[in-house]
Amino acid sequence: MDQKQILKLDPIIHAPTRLAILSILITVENANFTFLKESIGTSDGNLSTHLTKLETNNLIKIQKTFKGKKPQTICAITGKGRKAFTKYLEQLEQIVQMQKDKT
Amino acid sequence: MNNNQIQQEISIIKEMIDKTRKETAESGLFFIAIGLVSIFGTFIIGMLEYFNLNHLALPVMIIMLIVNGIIGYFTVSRQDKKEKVKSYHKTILYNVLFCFTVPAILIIFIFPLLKVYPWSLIPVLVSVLMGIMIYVTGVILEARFFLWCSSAWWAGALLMALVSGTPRIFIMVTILLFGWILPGLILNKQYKNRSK
Repeated sequence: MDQKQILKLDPIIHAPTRLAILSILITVENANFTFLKESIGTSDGNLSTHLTKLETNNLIKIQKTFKGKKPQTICAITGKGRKAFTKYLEQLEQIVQMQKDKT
Repeated sequence: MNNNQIQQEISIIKEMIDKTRKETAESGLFFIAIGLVSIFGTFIIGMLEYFNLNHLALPVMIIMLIVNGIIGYFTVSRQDKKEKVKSYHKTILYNVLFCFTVPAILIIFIFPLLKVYPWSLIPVLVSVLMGIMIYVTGVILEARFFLWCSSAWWAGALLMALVSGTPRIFIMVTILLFGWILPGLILNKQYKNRSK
């Protein structure tokens, strides 16, 4: 990977809320909307917007179900999302290394 | 992208992973509850043996199994209701625990009833099986102390094979304390520390 490629981070992941969503989902089977909202500390509307963006790009899948009588939204990372997040982490690592080499 | 931005991104990732870990930590209450019921049941079986009421041991074992099954069912269903996050390790753990109950039923009830081996062999075989289960649980939960607890079960199995009568009850209770309740208490302590 050359320097230009390394510095070109995936714009879909390169946003704090979306990065936080994927950081949670990469470690679990699935997480519900409430947990994501509480952990990230964001509003319903903002979280919905970011989830939709990730879903549109096939990085996560969203399922609307019922737990008893309560409706709930469950999110899980997809295979594509897992690959994209891993690549993103590798790029971050390489940027850190490049900056270390500079200094 | 400057250094500050990278550090910020890394801290977001770390913070989210930490929060998820706290949410998915195992409370250990399942182990403590089942351990206490089993110790109580073992004492009763010991007393029955002491007073030559061996014919009542089987019903006590059945009651113990049912009570433990109920505890297991309520623990899992309660967690399922409260659960905001479904983790891979918990799904694997509950499936492993469930899959061990089938051989446990075969070893404790079916095989002795079919006279495959004498009733006296049950505690030895159960200890061997429990040792395997605790070891697997330790691997799933990445808890090294579980591996030591599984050794307690296997050492207990060996000791129980060498002795007979009342000392077996004390050995079994000791194993239940060190090989089942103690890991539950350690898990619970870790769970509380993470929740702080």
